[in-house]
Amino acid sequence: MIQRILPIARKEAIQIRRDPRSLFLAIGLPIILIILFGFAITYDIRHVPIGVIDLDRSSLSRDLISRISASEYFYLRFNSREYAGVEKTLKEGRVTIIIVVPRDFSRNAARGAGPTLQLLVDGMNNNSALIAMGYLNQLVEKFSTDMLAGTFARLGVSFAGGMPGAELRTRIWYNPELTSSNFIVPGLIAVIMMIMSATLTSLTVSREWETGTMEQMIAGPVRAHEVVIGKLIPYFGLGLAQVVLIVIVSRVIFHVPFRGNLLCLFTVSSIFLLCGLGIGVFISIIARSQQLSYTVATLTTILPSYLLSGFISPISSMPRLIRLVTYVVPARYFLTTLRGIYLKGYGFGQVWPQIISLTVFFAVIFTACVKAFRVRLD
Amino acid sequence: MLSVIRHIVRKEFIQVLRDKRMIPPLFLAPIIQLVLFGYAATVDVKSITLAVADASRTRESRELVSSFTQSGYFVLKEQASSPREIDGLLQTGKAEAALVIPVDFGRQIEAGRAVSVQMIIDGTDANTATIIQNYAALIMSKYSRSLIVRVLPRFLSLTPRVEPRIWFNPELKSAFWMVPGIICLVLLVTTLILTSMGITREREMGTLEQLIVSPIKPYELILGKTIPFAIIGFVDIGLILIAGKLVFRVPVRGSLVFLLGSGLVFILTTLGLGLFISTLSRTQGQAMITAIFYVMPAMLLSGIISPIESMPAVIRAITYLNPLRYYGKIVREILVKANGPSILWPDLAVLFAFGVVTIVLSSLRFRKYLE
Repeated sequence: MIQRILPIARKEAIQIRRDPRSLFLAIGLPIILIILFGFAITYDIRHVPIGVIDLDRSSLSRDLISRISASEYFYLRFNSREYAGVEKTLKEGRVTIIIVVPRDFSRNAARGAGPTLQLLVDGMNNNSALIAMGYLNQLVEKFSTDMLAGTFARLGVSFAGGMPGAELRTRIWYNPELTSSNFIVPGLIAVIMMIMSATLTSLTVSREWETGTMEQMIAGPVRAHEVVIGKLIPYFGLGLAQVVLIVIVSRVIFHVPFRGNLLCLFTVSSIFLLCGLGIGVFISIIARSQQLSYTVATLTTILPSYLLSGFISPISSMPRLIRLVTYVVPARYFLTTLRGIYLKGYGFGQVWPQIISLTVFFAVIFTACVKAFRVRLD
Repeated sequence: MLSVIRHIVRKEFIQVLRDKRMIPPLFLAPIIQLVLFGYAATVDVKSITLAVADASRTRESRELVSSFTQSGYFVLKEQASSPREIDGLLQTGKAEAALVIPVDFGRQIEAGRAVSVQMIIDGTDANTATIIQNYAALIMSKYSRSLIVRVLPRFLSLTPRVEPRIWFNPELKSAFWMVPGIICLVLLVTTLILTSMGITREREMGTLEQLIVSPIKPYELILGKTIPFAIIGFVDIGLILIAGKLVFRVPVRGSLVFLLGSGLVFILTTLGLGLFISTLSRTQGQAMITAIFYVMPAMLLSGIISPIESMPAVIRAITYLNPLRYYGKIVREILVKANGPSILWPDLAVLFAFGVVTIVLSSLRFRKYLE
């Protein structure tokens, strides 16, 4: 059996080697992606462009505005005295939020008649809008608390032991500075591995169908599972090389702390890689043309591993039906494991359930490959 | 000329659609992408699992906890008896955040003194952690102010209240951002990758030689080869718009003609790039990986996935070289803000310039490659 698998693996390896540009791109793409993702994808919203229409022009309103524009979250584009032309700035996207201070703002504050601040928000980018509004609410809350403290001080009311109330002391574990790359980079390993493994292999078998070389191979005494294993081996090697590279890049360029067990990381990565490669081979067995293989591979691997793995948004916030679908996405298990190993110091003791899930997944996809291949042969 | 092109277009269509199994992926793909993106890629964080270690066990402390759970953001998952237990809950991911209330909490609050409460957040997902932190801070300062006001009710209406009015997308639905993004991605992928693979396929099969010796002119070949994928791309846009409207109620507020017209301008670039990639590739596999090599970074640096304003200055500068950035903005603003050429002409002009340059350069290269 081994004697029959090795030649297939060797033939596949030669084919990969003979095309140095694809090999270079296959190795280079993960690194470029990781650098782009690591630097470009930050979800912390900063420098949101805002505009102010201050109809009140009092010291209170000026105080509030200067506080808002001094924060790093906002960037003051204009401070106007009138409404005219305001709608246009929001429509053109020059500002995301316009803060309107009504004429009676400070008067109402002095009388205790409930001063209001109006916000006009461009909701087109719902995420930025939501976060920016959150920041603004916080700044206004802080301002209000200080206002009260000032009022009490003026009235001569003093509190022994500070203003009454509870204060929140936040501590963040595992990633105290909330560095985006610390959680994006480990997640990226999952996404990149999935994309690379499934698309690379998705063309291998369909290429043989297209060029007619499959018939030659079938004519020999090779068994279905031997072809599948033979096809997997060289890509498995390539995939492991990519994992090593990404791990090095994450350490050297992004200084992502590595707190867990390295052996555990490579074990899980290997099983995950086999799952991805298996999916690719399966697609390429059932699809007759390379274009079809490619399209199906994109649809079933790239997007789900990107969207349904928890990479972009936490799975717990998704609707229930979509949450159920995530259970059949292997990247989901891999992603949790990776973040755990990197940031929480997981070892085999914590990740064995994920290892089992991935192994089961691989067993299923491997059997499916062999079955589908037999069906195609008959 | 026209009849020659028509024949190539027909041949290409037959070739693509002969394989019946090619049809579902080509036309279902965009819809599935839409549903996935629309439902799964919500960045708003809800039902954060909260663990509480309440050493105070008083009415006041329970009030504090319920102000967290009643906010709609937090779900009480575990009542921990000790801070040590909290350790384990966060480590295993059973809780995303924990509230540690000190023994003297109730007493201090009742006495009208300041007291501090500890919040521990799992920072593994930095994005979620930031949002949790913001929610918690907001809930806490509201709670504190309610305490002051309870003691001194006349201060209730001293402080400003924020009244937000949200334009264009009042419910802040993420589909309003995702649907335009998917239109861009689908158009990019179908036109760029399938074109480059389609042309290299002829080369791989050896049929390109036959086409070269025939009296077909290079530009006729180029047009004939690219038009089918452009048509498929436009059918996909239509499907996405309809599905977006039906499933997510994303409106088309602006002009449909302008939307399709700007799509044509964008396609100039992608077809040009597809052609260019096909001159670089000998096999379909090569064409595909080269195309992905372009598509992935283009997607990341377009503003579709994460906002451009938050990127570092160097990367922000690079995004200006990305045609997808301009097209993404155009589609978004047509759909959501009903903006027309009077506002969007600068973006359209840049996109057009990109298109002309890539089409001309790659056609020249393709000619040379044919000879």
